[in-house]
Amino acid sequence: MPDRPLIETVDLVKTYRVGSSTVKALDHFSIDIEEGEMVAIMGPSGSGKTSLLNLIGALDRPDSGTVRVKNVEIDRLGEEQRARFRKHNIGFIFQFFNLIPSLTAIENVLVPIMFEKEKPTRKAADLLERVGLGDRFDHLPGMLSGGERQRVAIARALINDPLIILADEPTGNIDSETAREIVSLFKELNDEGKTLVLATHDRLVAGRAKVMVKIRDGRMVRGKAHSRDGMMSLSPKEGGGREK
Amino acid sequence: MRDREGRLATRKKARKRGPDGDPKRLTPLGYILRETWRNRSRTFFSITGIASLALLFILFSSMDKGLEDYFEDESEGVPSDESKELFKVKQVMDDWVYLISVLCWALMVLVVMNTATITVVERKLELGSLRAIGISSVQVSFLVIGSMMLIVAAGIASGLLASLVLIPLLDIANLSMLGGGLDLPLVYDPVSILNTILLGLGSGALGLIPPLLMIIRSSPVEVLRDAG
Repeated sequence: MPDRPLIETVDLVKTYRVGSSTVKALDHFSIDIEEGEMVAIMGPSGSGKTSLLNLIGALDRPDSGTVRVKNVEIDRLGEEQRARFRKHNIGFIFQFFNLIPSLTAIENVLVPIMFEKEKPTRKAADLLERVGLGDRFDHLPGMLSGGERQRVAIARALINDPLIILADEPTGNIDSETAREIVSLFKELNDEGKTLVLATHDRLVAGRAKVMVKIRDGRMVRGKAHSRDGMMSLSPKEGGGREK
Repeated sequence: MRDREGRLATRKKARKRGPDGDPKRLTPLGYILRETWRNRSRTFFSITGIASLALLFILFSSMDKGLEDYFEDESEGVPSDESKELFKVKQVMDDWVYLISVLCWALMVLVVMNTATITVVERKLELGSLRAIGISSVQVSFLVIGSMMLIVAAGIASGLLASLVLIPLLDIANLSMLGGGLDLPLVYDPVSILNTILLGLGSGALGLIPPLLMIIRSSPVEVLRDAG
């Protein structure tokens, strides 16, 4: 049996109710993401980028279709199992950082493991040093700039050493210079073997990704992948996996 | 001068680190304390409310107990005019003490429910983010229960401490106003203290049900979407 991709979504449909109307966020969307890839998902607001990330990250369930991550059908897991799955396999990075305002930078990094018996505080300190905040351990989020807060969020996403990092508009709330540094950090993590899936409007972020997928109205409209031989085209396929 | 500042900074830094020089660990209790302190004005008002109700409850319990003990001692012999008057007060108290207890309990439930609901609504994004990064809804509920139980415990303890001072003072003052000119006996007994603690725990448990249901039923996706 051939190896399955790290992330496999098949024929995903996801709808939301907004007032009295129903919005189709994902419309029979399928994509395979291999381990170690850096995928940029691009598309206009409301195209389904965040919905896709939420489904891959075990935050939400599809109306129909399957999400398989590390060979686990995560849409079939119960609430508590999905929380555990997220904790150990997924690192989330949000546009608005979502840090806890009353906790210092280092405590924010430690939040995902505060209920664990083993608390690798040294690792949290190393991660903050790695993202360039070695002198900001005891600063509250309110004392940090947007870029610094995003770095804390990246360190927090890495504390459990997840295989997959999901970032929703990670550069959407920071200046272009800091965005460039954040993207370099993502590239570095990808080079170390982390799989990154980034929902973004930012061409700078998309330009550094190995695979770029464009979606509109919940469907894949175009995809491009970097390869050793240059660019490969991905085309949408109903009900299927990745095509090259 | 600069040396002194340097020493102070080093000492401050050392306090924030463990004995091995590593940064201090973050525990759920540490998180609860930090969050309770962040919302200190609301916490203060909730503690004051619970303390006042606990004080009112223990005051009436002490009056009830005092009258009970008085009539146990006066059961034999011809009743005096004062004991006749006190007996009337006791008859009223017998009805009122239950009503006051129920009222204190209901108000305490409302205080807990109100504070916890505001906390959950106000910290919706924070609690949703915690769930998104892998903290389960049971663990998030534990954080909310912990902070509310801290408030209830502080409120009950404050009420009991205040009663320790107030009841002997009222006993000295003879409670002439409350007793309609009579020397109303007050007895501070351990059963009243235990009842007050149980009252606090009961109201905490009941008042927390609606906010906890909010947490369990809420979806982190919806919370994050609303925030975006």
